[in-house]
Amino acid sequence: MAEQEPENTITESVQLEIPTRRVKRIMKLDKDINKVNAEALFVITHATELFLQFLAEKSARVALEKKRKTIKLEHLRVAVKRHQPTSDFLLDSLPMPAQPSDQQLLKDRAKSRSNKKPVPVGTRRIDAFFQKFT
Amino acid sequence: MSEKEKENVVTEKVVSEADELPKTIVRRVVKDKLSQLSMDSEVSVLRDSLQGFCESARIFIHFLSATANDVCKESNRQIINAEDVFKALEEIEFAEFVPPLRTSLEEFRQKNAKRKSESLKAKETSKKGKKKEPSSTDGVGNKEEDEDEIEEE
Repeated sequence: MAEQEPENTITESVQLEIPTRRVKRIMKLDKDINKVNAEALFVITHATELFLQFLAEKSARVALEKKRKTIKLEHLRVAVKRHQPTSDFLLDSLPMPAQPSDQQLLKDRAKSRSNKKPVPVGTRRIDAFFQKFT
Repeated sequence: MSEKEKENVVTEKVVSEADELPKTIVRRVVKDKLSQLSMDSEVSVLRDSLQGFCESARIFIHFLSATANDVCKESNRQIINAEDVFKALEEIEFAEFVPPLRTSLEEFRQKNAKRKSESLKAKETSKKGKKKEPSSTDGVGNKEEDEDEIEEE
């Protein structure tokens, strides 16, 4: 094994954009989940990036079909609908394209809530998609 | 009364920012992918649509990790490992992700193995430095030995 192996190349290709700490934090919201090892966390984080890229591509194609150059929420919805596995777990949970007045309301709430403890909103969301399985 | 209920409904839709993925990073991942795609015209993302991407990613994390957790429990283990995640990906019909993930996992393992051996080497070198006074012959001789051991591994 040569000492002069380009270490930089290896480091670059393994570089994740999404911070694993944040992913772990999100996972821990599910009380069923006990522990996850470093490798599994890495794979889940990378898989999430791949998923985002996948959604980006699909949504972009939908946008172009509709002769648009900007991806809107509606394009994302259509993209999700078209892909069965994604649709199964995601479609119901996607934020609805809100009316301008609703959006402002949501933003205001978000601002006031961000200072306080995290509301058990996440739990509800998880229940929502767990119900889908059972 | 009805207004308060409305308030609660709106609150429940909002997730604490700390429990989401950082928006700037989601935007970067999405935009990088869009610029990679060889499309006739450049596609961008509406700022408000980013929320949809953030949510989707967040839910994917929950979904994938919950499935991996089930796989793990079926094998009577407590700690989710990489293989559990790969099995989970196949179960949720994202098997196409598995090959690139296996490749990056290999690189991750190699990188960690290298780090471990380097830190071991550093420890041993510092130990020897403390025990003996660094004489030129011994120091050089020992160092070479250490390097050989690592290379063989």
